[in-house]
Amino acid sequence: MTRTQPGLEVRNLGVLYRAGGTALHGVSLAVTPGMITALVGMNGAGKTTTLRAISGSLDARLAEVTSGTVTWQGESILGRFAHTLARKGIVLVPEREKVFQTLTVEENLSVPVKAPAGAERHTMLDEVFKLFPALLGRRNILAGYLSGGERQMLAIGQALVMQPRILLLDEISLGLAPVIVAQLLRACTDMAKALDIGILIVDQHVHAVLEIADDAYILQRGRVVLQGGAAEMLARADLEAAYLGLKSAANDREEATEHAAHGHAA
Amino acid sequence: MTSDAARPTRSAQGSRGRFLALWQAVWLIAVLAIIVAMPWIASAFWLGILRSCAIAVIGALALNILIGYTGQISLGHGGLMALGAFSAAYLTNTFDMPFVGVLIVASALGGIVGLIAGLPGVRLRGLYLAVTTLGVHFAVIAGATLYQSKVAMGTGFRIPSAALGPWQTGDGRVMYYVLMLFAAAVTVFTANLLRSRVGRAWIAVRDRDLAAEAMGVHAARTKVEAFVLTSALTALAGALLAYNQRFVSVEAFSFSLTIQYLAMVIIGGMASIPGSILGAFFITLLPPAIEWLVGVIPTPDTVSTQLFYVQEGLFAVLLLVFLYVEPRGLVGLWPRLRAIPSRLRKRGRLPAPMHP
Repeated sequence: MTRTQPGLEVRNLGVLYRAGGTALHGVSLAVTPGMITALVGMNGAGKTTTLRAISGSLDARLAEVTSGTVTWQGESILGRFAHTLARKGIVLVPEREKVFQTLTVEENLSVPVKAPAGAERHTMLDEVFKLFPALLGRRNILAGYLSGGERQMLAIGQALVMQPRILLLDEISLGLAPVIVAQLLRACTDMAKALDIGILIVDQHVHAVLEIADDAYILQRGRVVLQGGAAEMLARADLEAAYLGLKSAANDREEATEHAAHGHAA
Repeated sequence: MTSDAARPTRSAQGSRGRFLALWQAVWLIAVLAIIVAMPWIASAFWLGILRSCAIAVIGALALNILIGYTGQISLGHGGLMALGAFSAAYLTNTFDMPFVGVLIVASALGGIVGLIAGLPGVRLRGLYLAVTTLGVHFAVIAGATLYQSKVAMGTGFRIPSAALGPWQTGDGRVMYYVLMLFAAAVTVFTANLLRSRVGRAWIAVRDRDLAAEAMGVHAARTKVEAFVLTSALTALAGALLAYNQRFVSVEAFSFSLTIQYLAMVIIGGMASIPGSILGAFFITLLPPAIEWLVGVIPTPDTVSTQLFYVQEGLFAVLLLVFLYVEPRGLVGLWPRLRAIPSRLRKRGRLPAPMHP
């Protein structure tokens, strides 16, 4: 799965925690516009740190980049401010609290600095509501009252208003029902293809993510231990047991079917 | 299907977005009429208190921008008021500068000091930031004390009455209208700013600065901008205070002035414009109201002779009660009061929601 189109390139990225200990030992990966790249691994493997280092939002008091390069279309972007990179189109959807709770859904969508004013504003809102119809009826509701799934949709909607070229999604499915997870991931696929956005996605739902991803990287204790096409990884049943510390893939699938059966019964 | 669903919500929003509903307009006109009629109703003493209320409204709105909307903290508010007042003293005594010129220069100086005071806020939070802003208070007070002892033999400065065209603000009634106009202008200005991109950026940075940066908002600059605006408006309030008192002395700007303004914001309502106004009136009216009550109601002599301590004590108790019972402040009481009739009707059937 190689393309000549220049995208986001991370080479040999090293990050050190100031409190002691290394977070990343020379991580290399690439994200191409229009494609979805999955970054999976156990808790503490360094997934969030990788996304934060790329997007310029590492907390300088807690961690520092010690080696490596990050380039976007050939230009070095390591060390730039998060807001500068966001304006350039490299947009992070951070983990957990990401929407502005005391603003309404519409106001949230007007926070991005690229949010248009006047008549174009309605076009922008309509586009987001077309992608996430669930938000339409909640447009004048404070984001603090939204459900977990709606918050994720809003966060992705906000990121889209920034007209991203690269979207860094950190655990967008955390604590959500499987139906909502599927819906969100489907929206990601649509976005990537329709708007030619490169998506780097970190998620605990390894199976679901590998199914929509083009490429995948497995991160273990700050190192990329395996990389390749997502489809091939999905085909290897031993993978999860070996690298992700989860139960075998078959086991996982069984559980999912069980879940669905319970859902029907209820 | 989506477009059908869009129509009702959008039209509903249209009626909500109209400038003012009828009952709001009635309220507004009634309040305006009372404000305009006050110089003919109130005694000179109470008109003076109302002038102080107008200044407090400007100061409380300014502080609420910083701590309510941007989530920063400042303990330098009294110091910045002193900066405005002493700028007025210096500019009138040394250059004989006219009223409007003094207000502009004082606000600009406040903005510059706010820029310096706000820079630590880029990296510091909470208590650390509070301590650095406390430094602003002591620096300004130290400078003012030095200036006062060298130039005014330690007593203070007289401020000339200002002329606005044919009107002399030395007349308490004219000054009352001037101050009310300023308070109204700052209220409208703040309300508009909050509805704009600037206001949304403040709130975004307060709610979650990491997410705000992902939206392209320059969080550090947004915080500093809020500091600059708050400080400029506070210095403006300080300069107006100087013209209102016609006398400036460093003793009037103790640290308890900062505490009073913090109390206005907390008791009135954080991140609320009506809250800032209510809080400003409440805290300013409380001491004279207590004094008046002590005069009307027969009380033991100890109360009337120790009035200051009674006032301070009651102030502290109120602050505690508010933080405990209604963290949203005075503005939070309104929805509760409004819910009482329906709650009485529904008594015994369903519990009414606590926070509608």
